[in-house]
Amino acid sequence: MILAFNLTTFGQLTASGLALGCLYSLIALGFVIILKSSGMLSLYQGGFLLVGAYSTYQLHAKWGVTFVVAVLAVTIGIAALGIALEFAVIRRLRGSAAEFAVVLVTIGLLLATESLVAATWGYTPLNMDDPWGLKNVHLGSVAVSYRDIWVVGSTAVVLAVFFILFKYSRIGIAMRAAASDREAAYAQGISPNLVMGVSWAIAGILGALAGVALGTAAAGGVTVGLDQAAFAALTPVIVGGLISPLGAVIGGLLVGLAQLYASGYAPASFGDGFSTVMPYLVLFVVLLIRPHGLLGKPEIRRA
Amino acid sequence: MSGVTSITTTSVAAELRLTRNSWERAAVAILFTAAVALPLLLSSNFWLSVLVFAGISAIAAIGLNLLTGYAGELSLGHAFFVAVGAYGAVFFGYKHGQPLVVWLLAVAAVGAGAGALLAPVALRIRGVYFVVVTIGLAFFGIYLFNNWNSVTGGPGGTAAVVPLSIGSLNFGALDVAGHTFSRQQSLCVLIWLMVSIALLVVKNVSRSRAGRAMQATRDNNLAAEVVGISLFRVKAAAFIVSSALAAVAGGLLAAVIQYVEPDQFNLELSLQYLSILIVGGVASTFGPVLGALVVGALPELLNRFGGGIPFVKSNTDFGGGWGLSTAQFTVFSYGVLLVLFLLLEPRGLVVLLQRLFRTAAKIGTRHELPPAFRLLRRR
Repeated sequence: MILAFNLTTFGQLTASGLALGCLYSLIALGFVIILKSSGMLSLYQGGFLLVGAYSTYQLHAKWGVTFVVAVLAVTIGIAALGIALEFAVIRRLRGSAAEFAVVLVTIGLLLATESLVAATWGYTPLNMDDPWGLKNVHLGSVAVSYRDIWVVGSTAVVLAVFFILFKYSRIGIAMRAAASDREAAYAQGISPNLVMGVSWAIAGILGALAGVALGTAAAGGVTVGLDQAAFAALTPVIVGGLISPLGAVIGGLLVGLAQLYASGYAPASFGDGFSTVMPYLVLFVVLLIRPHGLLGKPEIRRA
Repeated sequence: MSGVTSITTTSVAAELRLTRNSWERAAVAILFTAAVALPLLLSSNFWLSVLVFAGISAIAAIGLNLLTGYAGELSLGHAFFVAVGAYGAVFFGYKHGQPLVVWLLAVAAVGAGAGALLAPVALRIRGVYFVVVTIGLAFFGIYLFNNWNSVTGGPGGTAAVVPLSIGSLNFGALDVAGHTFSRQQSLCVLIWLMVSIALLVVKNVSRSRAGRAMQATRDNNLAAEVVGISLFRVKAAAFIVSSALAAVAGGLLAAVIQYVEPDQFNLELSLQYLSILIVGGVASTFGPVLGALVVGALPELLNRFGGGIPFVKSNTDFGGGWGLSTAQFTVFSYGVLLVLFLLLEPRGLVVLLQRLFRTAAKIGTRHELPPAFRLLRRR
């Protein structure tokens, strides 16, 4: 394909790319917060996405609860689910191989969740009946969907709240203390169990919100494949430097944009689904050039 | 997994020997003979196919054990290399009609090559994050196999009817002393022969200098580097051998099913291999085989007997009522088994069996394990 540069197409791709990038940032931030507070990589973000999106669908589209109320209820429910999982399973995995065990257990839980969700709601995409629908607003010649504007706006709000809480609230300071030196933090009377529980609750909330946004009509409806986004969102975690919340956000935006530009500009000969593997290609390239990520520290590198 | 090996033996030389005494050698010989002869005595096609698929999973899991168990790198991309092997079999065996020995060796070489090619990217990041790269690999692989039509036939898949003869030995229909055995029986013999070879390869690598270096990097990579071990070379070696074994498993899978399509090699398949490893016993010689006989046999067993379990219905039952299809229940079981074993007995069935034998031996007023059971002891 010869690139005849078209400003409208470019604007459209940028807008959608930013919206997708915002969602990647939210999911990636969930990974990072568990990583930072416990040093463990949990792969369960995809499960939070699925449960969040499907229970919102059930509450709003099936039982007619107002959308905002449904999302709020789901947020609270997911926070409880996160705390429960951490309490019932993750906390029991101790010992020198715990960080491997957590990865294994969370991937096991994720695929078990996926099969339960598929058994309950089936594989057909479902219409969440969200208030945005497929409506567009025209900014010049670029048509941007209402949903994308809402996604970018509410992500900005969620991120702002997150960073303020993380910086100034008591629990936020406790979490940062635990992240920078776990032993010293515990010696100061910060409860590791509290920090772990809260980080799982926050990760769950971030995942569920992203799941709801990814399940809206404009994004293609609620499907069992939603958790793929959580795998793709692992790329910004590494690109951003693993334990840097800001890095995760920047990485998320970069990966979202890269994916959308690939969907718009990759030649047809690259075949089907090229844009969906774009995040992983970004990952491979970043690992070759800068293995510790954009904002990470070199000691993360190995071999 | 670090911290699971115990230092119980007094002599390093004894520890490094392939078998510790003539009893063990006899026991190994008997076990391998049984593994090869049993298929010839079984006539039920169903149980034969359970053994066939368990054997294929065992080969892949034995390979994964080297990477995950001994070198300590967790991989969710093992299915990618199994796919490479399956398409290798399509290319060399089906499209170019090469004989069994040639296509199987070519498949192993292609698997090793893919491992060598990807090691520099995959091993650029520490510990747990390696798993992220392998997830990327899994998704990239599915994209690649869906689009590389000339080799893979695209999303629709491709036939894979491959030659199965070595000289006069035809593993499509073994002929022993005038009696011709069925295709399933013959394939079962071939596959369990390969399981034995894979066990021997991994056992030999793990007791060699390279294998001990792998375990050293797993248990403490800083200490390993200090004594002069190159992390990259050691981990890359494990990655390459494990990829080659995965490819062999993939080649055999293609030979059995005679059809290959990209969707077979999804994340669930990689989860199955990890589940086999944990359920059987990670970093133990026979763990992957034990795990494969339990977890690797699940898809076939559930397909046949799953209907008796509450809330499980057949894959084609779309009628009312909540329930998991057998395919969904299979994946669900992989996940749940993984979680249960990690919570309750992370060292797997190998240790559970060993405990069982110990108790049995005590009841028989014996203080030492019988030689055959000593094989199952963890090192």
